Amino acid sequence: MRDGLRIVREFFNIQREVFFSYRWDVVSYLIGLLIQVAVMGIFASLVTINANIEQYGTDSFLQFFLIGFIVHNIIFLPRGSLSKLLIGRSFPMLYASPAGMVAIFLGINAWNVVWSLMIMGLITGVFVLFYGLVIHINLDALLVILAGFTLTFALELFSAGFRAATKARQDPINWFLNLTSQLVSGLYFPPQVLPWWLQPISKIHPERYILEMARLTMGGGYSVSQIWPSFVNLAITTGVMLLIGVAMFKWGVRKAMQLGTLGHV
Amino acid sequence: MIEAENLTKYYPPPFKGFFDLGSLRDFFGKPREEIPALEGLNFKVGEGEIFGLLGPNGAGKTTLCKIANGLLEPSSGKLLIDGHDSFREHGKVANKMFTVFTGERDMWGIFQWRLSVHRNLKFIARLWKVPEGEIGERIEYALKLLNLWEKRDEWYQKLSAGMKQKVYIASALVVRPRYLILDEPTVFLDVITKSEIHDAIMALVRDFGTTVILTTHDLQEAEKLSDRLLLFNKRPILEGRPEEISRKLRAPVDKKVVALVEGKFDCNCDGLVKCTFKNGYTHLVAYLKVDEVDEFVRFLSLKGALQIKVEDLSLEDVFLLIFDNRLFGG
Repeated sequence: MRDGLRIVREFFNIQREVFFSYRWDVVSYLIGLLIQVAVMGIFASLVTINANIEQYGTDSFLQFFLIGFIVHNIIFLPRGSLSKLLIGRSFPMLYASPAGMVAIFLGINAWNVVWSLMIMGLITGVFVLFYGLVIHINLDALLVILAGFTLTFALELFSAGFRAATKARQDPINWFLNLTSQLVSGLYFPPQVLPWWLQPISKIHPERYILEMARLTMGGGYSVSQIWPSFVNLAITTGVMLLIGVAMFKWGVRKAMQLGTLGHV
Repeated sequence: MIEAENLTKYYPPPFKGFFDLGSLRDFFGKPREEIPALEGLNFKVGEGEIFGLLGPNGAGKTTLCKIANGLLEPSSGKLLIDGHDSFREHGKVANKMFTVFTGERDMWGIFQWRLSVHRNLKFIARLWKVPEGEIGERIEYALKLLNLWEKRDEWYQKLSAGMKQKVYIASALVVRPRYLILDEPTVFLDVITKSEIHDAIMALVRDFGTTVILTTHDLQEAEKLSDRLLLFNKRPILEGRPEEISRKLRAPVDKKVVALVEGKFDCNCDGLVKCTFKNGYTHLVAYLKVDEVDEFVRFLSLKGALQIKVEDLSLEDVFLLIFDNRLFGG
């Protein structure tokens, strides 16, 4: 356990050092972020939409949009976390090292997760201070986000297994999720305004329900007990997907070990 | 001790695409045919020994390295490291091993391009759980041995290809593993860098008792470094000390005749002869028995050969005779 934590810390440190070695990139990123936050806030304040926003527990489009943006960015953090490690050029050496794979996985993603959460915290702070965003941070909201995060991780396990076995350079599962989450999950606008032929895709998209629950808990201050049917559905979906994801991951890695494609040495 | 017991690996045929039903069946079910990568490899490597695995491209050298590191499941047989199966018990042997993988992509994958050489080595040391108090001293020793000490604060990306490879070898010196696997460690390098890397490998064996498996197709390297050699091309061919192998293999032919003849020369003669026609000249290499040499030289003189050289066979010639199927007519 102590060894594992040391490895995670070492990865965290080295990734932080690499990140800040790109000094101009960091400066450009922060300037870009500042502009993005300003533009998003102004955009969300000005837009009015002909839909019943209140049903999502949010009393304005600004609240609807910004909560969706923050939650989307947090729950999608596991995307690519495992598949990039498996098909990355450093994998053979990492796998051959005595450091455990769990510690390597956590370590290699630690900096990215911490940095992303810091940025999300900063953005939330700016929205609260300058745009009047009201959010309820409570255990119920955290539960919803955690369930969404786990579901994305389950899909990432599935995707990593597929990519390990097939040597696919593309990531069709995450690509599909990403594209559809922007368009049909209700990230930027209520799904009810979608045309009828996109409604079925929207209804099977898990992020739609995660965002709905996140908006109800973070925006409207609902508790999980008030939205329990949706939460139970999400929990069951997450559990089932986790089982499928683990099975696919194991199959993919085993297949790659038989075919010799693991690590692409 | 490292021990290969009837180590065998077959791959399915190459995937021809999603619309090829046979390929899909090969992928998901039992393959229609199996392409051998390694067949029945047996060897034992003792403590502190340098064991050379010598084979041409595609002989199965990298396959063996993958199996040793738990990245590839053998079809049958096993590779035992201190009695533990390298694939199934990878966790038990990982802390005893260090592998220098071949190829640009993998060779430099672990290193962070925008960090210093020293920081990269420190990272490797921590990954291999080198005691914290020894890391600095080990890095200094490794970098000085490989003439990289002046470069310790330079970004890794600023180093030349040879220096990058030396850093890779330096990481083995920092880790000081019990078993070191080198997959063509000096491929594409100049003579000086090669020599420095050879010295570093010898230092590891001499000073720290490291056991080395060296896979290579560089004969001089294999001859220079290895205590014992295994010649193989998917299947084992010969095993022994380098000089024993040379001796055993020289039986069918003893001499090499190299000649340059003006015009196109008819190579349609018996024996192991290879002719290359270029810019109006034929470059001829013939492998002969001692008693055939004089007659062949006279024959070449009559044909107006511009240069004739008679040489003893080197291990490289032996290697060519074994592996270059063209010499044997396929």
